[in-house]
Amino acid sequence: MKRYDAIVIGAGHNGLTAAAYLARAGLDVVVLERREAIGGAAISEERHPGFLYSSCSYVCSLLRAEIMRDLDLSKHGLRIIPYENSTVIARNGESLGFFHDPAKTRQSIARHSRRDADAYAEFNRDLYRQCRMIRPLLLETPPDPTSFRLRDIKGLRKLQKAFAQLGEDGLAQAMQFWTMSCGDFLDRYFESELLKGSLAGNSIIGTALGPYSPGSAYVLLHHVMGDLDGHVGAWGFAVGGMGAVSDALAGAAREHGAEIRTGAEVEQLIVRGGRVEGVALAGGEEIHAARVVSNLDVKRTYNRLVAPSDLPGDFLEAVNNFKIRGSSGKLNIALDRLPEFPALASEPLLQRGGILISESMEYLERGYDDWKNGLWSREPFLDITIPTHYDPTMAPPGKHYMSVFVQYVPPTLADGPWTPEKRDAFGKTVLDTIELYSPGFRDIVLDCWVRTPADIENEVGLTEGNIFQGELTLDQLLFNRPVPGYAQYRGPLAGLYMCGSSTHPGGGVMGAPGANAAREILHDAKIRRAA
Amino acid sequence: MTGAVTKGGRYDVAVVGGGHNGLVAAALAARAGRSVVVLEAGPRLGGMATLGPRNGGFDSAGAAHLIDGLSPALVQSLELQRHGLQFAVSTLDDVALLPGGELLVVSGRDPEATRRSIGRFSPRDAERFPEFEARLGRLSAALAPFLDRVPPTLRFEEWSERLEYLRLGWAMRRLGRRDMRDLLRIIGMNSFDLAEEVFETDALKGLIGFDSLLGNRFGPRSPNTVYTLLQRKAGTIAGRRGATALPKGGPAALIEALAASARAAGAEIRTEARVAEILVDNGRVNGLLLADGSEIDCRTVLSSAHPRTTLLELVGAGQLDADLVRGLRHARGEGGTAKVWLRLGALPDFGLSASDLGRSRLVFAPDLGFLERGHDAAKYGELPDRLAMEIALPGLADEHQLGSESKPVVSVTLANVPYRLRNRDDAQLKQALVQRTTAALADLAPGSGETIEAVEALTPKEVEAATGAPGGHWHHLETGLDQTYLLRPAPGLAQYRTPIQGLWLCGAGSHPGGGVTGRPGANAARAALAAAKTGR
Repeated sequence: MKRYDAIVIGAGHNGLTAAAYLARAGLDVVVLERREAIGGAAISEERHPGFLYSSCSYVCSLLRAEIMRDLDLSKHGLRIIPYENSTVIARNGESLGFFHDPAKTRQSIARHSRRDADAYAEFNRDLYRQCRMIRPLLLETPPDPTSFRLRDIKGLRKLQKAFAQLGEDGLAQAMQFWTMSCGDFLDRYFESELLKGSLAGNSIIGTALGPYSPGSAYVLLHHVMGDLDGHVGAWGFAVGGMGAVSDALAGAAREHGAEIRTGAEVEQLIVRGGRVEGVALAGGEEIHAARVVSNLDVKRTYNRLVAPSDLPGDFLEAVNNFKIRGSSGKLNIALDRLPEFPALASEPLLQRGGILISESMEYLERGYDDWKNGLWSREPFLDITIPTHYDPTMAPPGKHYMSVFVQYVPPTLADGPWTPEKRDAFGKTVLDTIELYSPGFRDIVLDCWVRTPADIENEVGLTEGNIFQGELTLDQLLFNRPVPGYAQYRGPLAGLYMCGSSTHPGGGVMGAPGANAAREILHDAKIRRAA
Repeated sequence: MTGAVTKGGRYDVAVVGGGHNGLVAAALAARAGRSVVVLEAGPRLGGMATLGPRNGGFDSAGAAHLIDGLSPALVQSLELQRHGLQFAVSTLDDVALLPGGELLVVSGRDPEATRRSIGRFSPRDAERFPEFEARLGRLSAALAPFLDRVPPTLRFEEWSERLEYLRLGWAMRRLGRRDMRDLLRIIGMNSFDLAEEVFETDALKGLIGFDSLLGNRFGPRSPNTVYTLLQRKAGTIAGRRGATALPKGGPAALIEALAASARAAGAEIRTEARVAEILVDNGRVNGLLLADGSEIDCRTVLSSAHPRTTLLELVGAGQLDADLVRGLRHARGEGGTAKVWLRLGALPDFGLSASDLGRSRLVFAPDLGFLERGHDAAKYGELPDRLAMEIALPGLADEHQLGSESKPVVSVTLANVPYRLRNRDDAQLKQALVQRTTAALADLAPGSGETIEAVEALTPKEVEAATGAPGGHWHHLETGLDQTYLLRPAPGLAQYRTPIQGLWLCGAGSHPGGGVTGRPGANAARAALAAAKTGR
């Protein structure tokens, strides 16, 4: 029987990234994917004839440039087109636009508040200073602060230097950033509710926190620390939908010799004497390898694939305490034609980027209150994009595909688990909301595919439908992610690694956890050609 | 200055504000041989601790009806016991009140009673509780020494500061790997998740949640509430860490002891002496101007007033750097805590004997969802229908605190109170607080509603008006992680030192924050005295 150097469980974008790096270093790698299609949450699917949906993840910004380069993803067909602009629209017909051209953005903000227009430049400067500090840390393995190993001490020193470079003011701001609420942070700069509401959107996407919950400022940072074409914080569409990112990564992995098997569900790990030696598939087939890399979240990895008796009790307890609450939903909509947003009538170009529905800080906070009470937000935050503006191949000629990201949606409801009827009612809430901003919208809907956290869990395998494989709060970042003492992509079982978003630096289509895990695996395997 | 100036005296050190922190600072400075004057704007000393009605049989009422975290080192060095400080009860029991009349008792004196009480709800929780207490005890003990130290700056320049960081690192390491990891994880967590991780009993979780947010505008789901819980547990009183004590004679007696200690060391204490301006000459303190027009000649000023009052009003924003002003303006400090006092004709029936009632702190916070919903209402300026509260009957264990005609006074501290009620004025808030509290009391102690003889209340706005602290927040500023230690009250001001040479902050707005601990006052005084010695 064939024995591999490494098995990667799950062909999500991080699993593929890890596989590509490992194969590139000369390891014999197989990727095992439960579903028939690869990509996990970065996937494009034709669910309605002629329409290609980015079913889950829908925009691209965080994918690390280093990974694009190392794996030559453009050669494998990846093209990302930056948004030209984005906007927030209000029920009273007003809008506020963020343009490629800072002068236009300034003008747009000034229509709401002159003071805010001045403060916006300062806000950006402060935010990007923090982004620049964090970005180099994304592709680093978090040091263990309790360790006296040279490697960890060096890592801590590096971390300390990165912070110290900010200087006294920047450092104080960084400390506040990691602990304060997004609402308090924005209140320091701005007065316009629409502006604050739109900026705060980034602090709540995928998060079980409200905009005024301490710690939400970091989530804002997490969403803007990406860069496209050298534009910090810029977002873009992948041509062919988010599945194209996965396809390019798979292409790179295959080029370096990795094998990718779909329809191959791993049932359990083969553990002998505290060491993982392979996996057993659902059909009974066993595959052996010197090491196994799990792209599943930490709960699925350790609760489903390993017998509890093979794990230390306190580790298992820590895994169970990992917070991974789902809070987001998604609607994929096929449209007969472009919708009309009266708020954007004078600036039609603004339809081409992200359109946010996020009236005010209170609007978001109340949406969060509903989530806490086991309801979906009765007035939800929506992030609407129409990728067919840029990539007409995703829909038949003249038709359009619209992606609607919805926050907040609980993984289970106050009155019990999700049912098809409740899903329909949730979908109706979202469509009714859009209708308020785009009268007649419902008449142009050809197909609407509603996805709740439960659907995301069942289909993609993300526990509780949490899009980040675990919440991005201070207690679950850096050396705490996913479990204190096990933040270096290894767990208590020899030969078993984690490479998913449950690990540092967390969620988003970044590829960093996959690349970092691969580097650690190669380090253990004493293979020098590291990432 | 030109014109006729009444001379108000010449002192080495002037202390603005006669709250407990001001008195601590004054006592320490006087003991170090300085000539000291304390200037209190109001008619009586004690600031927030002693705020409360003085008539209608509420003569000993004070907002700080119970004390936790009063620095033991201060009690000793200021000889507070010799100056009259005594505790009527040194360790109160925590009693969670439940709607059906059930009680859950967490006794600091009697672990067996605690085990039995929790065991009636959940044997598993009863097993887990001692370890949970020990765990929080170990972690908070590691933080405790830093409550009595000046936070370092973020400049990393001086060796003494680098040493302070090493000391911090060492305190973490000394916990051992397991506890250190635990601390680094849970310090950023919320008390909701922590309580849910360990326990299943709603009443117990509610009690933990309540202790994590009292004084602040938090819900148990607000991240960082574990930090505030740890800080609360870090205090030691009457030799017991994390305990709550009842001072004999109420908060006023504690203030008396502090004032007596300061006076014995030679400090002069003036009431109704309002400071109108901190005089600054060339970036240095050059005296104080009082509201009556007199002038105090001094080169060192310790201000226990709110940091915003001190710097933006008494000094003036014009003297300060713009970033600093902005940091101060945006520091969160709207009060979310109120008081209600009730005088009853008879002992209320909470299902406890009079002697147990006298040595208990009753908490109504039946579950975590209740607390969170209360917080949700308050954040929009609404008053929850039912308020989380802490109830004490200080007179039962301390006859000095019985109301007139020896009637029991019920002292209630209310959480989740909005600073400003949406579309209503403060009088309406006050009325609603009284109504909610009497209704709750009638519910929790059946029959007590009919025996109410008098009621008084204190809203955050009234605290603001009485003390001059903008927002009327009990800790001057919230004590979340983003406003604590070297970020408190704002970056650049955490070492008690201000940009005005000779002016120091010594109130609750500085590290380690509010509560009757005396620590900000003591740390500031020590820093100011040391700086004066080295001439900086």
